[in-house]
Amino acid sequence: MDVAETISHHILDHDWGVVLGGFRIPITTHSVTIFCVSVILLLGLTWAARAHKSRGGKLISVLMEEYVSFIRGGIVLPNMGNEGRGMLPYFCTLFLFILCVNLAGMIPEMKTATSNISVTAALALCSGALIVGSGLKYHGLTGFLKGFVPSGTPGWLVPLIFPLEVISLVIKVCVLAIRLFANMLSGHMVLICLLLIIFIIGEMSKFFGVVSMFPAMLLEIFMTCLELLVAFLQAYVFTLLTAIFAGSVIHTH
Amino acid sequence: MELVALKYIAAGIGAGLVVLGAGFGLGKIGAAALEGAARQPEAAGDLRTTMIIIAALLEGAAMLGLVICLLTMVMK
Repeated sequence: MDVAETISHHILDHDWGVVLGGFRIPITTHSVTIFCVSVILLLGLTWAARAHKSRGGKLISVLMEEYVSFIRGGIVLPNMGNEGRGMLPYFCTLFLFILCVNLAGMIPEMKTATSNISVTAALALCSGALIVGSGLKYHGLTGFLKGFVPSGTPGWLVPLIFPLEVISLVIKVCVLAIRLFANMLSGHMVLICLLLIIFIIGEMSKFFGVVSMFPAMLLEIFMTCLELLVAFLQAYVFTLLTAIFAGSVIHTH
Repeated sequence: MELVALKYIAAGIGAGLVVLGAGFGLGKIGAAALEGAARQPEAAGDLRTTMIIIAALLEGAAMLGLVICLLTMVMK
């Protein structure tokens, strides 16, 4: 039982090696997952929007209204005030996308795309662009740069505080990516290792392999439930932190 | 002791310390939230939301340390 090969097969990204007319098209397992989830989301949400307009499918339009008002009242308005109303579609998309990609990883044959640092880095870059862009839009370039230093600090302290604040903003965006990536990766790794324990013990002695099946499966069930909770939680925390950072750039500065 | 073995020992001790720190922090967060909810039962919903947010932030920091431990184990 090759442990490293099993883990790398189930968790890491794999190129499918598609070659089309001399060009290597980089189709990997994670990108296929993102593509499927995006297509399903696009079709589903277009149908929901059309149902909402024509008052046809009642249930889906009520669900979507509830979801949008949850994002607006819980995440965007308390943290960003009235200036945040224009950015509501981005937050709705972000939350739903991360949630669906996380949940797609729990389906047996599909991999979690957010357990890839490239995917979470791209999402964090989008959020970082939103934060910096909203600061530039509401305060201009000089106002944005002046906003890093709180008003009323003595002049000699400014060359110390300014780089510190800039680095802190950059690190906040990076940690956003790493938090999501590490949570998803570690969850799936624990899930696989719990199953591998059965095989490793089974190689040494078949009797104990069968005996160790019961506690391992109980732990596995518990970890799966925890994984589902973590999927929701991490999507919520990513969206909430983006809103908090954008709000702090708009208001204090 | 060979240098290769030291790498694995360091990764193991590091991971243990990270989990220790996370356990301490989460315990304090939970205790503060429960005490606040006991003093003012009507604020329990607000406290629960804040507690979960801070727990996720702390877990993010702990995961950062864990990723560094994994990196020390895998790198040459």
